[in-house]
Amino acid sequence: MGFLDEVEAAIPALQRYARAMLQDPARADDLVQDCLEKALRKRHLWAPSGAVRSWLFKMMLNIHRDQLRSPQAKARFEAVEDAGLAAHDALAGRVALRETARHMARLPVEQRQVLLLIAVEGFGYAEACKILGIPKGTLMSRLARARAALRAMRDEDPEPMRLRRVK
Amino acid sequence: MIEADLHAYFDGELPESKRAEVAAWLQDHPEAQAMLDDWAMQAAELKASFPLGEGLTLRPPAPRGFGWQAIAASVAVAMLGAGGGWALRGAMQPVATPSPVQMAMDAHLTFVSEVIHPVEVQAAEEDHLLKWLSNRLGGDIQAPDLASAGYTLLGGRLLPNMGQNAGQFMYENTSGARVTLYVTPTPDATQAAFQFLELNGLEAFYWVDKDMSYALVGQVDKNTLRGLAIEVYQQLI
Repeated sequence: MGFLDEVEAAIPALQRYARAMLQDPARADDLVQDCLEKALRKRHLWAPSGAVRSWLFKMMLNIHRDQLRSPQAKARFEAVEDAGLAAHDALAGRVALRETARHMARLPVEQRQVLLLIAVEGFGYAEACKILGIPKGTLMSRLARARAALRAMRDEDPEPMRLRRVK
Repeated sequence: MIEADLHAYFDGELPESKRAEVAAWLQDHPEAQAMLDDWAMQAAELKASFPLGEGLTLRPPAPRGFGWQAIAASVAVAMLGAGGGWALRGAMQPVATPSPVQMAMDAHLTFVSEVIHPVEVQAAEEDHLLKWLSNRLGGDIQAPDLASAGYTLLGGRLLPNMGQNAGQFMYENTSGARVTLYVTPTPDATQAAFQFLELNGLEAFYWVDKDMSYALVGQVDKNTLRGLAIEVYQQLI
């Protein structure tokens, strides 16, 4: 399989990962597009022995991190009727987050990154460390904290969202 | 049994020899097995919540920054009224992101996940911390007491802020949730508007008061954060 084929094959997973990280499909696809454009510009840097998929993930995470840290990163401020939950609810409603997705949104970005790479994308620890540029100990502690936090949130959640048996 | 081994076992990262040992141990520890079952359920739910994308066709490069300007931050802007109440500010009026908020959010993300070194100076040395930050920031810096809201001071640190200095206080509640208060000198500030910013799951209340700007940052429920922000504001008046 050639370079471009491998890139193309990785796109659905990149979209999934970006959407899970950003929780906004349009912005997530922008991020994937940015990543793909960069990948094509930098394809001469790709070592043929390496896995294209993890190379792409690393590139996308770097772009995302740079965007988060960029002073040009502009957030849009909008006035609402009061400082209550209107804007918050609108966002939540728009993306219709499911319970798990909502719980994920409450995790620190670093923990989300790790859990998604391991549990959803199926990367091994060594590959995930390379993608994120972190040592294994850091990876393990983030993974452990993410899993523990999701368990705790599930336990504390009241159960209005789940089906109840009616007698 | 150390937890890292359980994760490695669960994720298929243990060598064969060790696998059998963990498997045998789990037989005798049903509560640990239940935890692994939960992890499996989490993974299944995550995969169901986040399905594979449908693919993309490459588009011509967008003008720089285009996508990012459309960032989907959900934000409310309000003013703190004379009596400490909340009042409506102009409708749908876009304002620029105050850069101290970005700095505060960055600093929050960097330090809040620290287990061993969340702060530079511990709360036990609060007097020293406040004197130090007051000297370096040029003002009377106080750490608000948020005990009534269940948050205790862990300590604080000095940070760079675009050629100036900033201070960060970190608070934690009993369930481990952390919020940070980011303080920067803002000599020519004219307004004391409360602004709320949400960016990638991180939330911040930002305001300016008496030559200092404050950003309270956290990943807690918005009403909780707002309550804390009001508490901080009132204590620092």
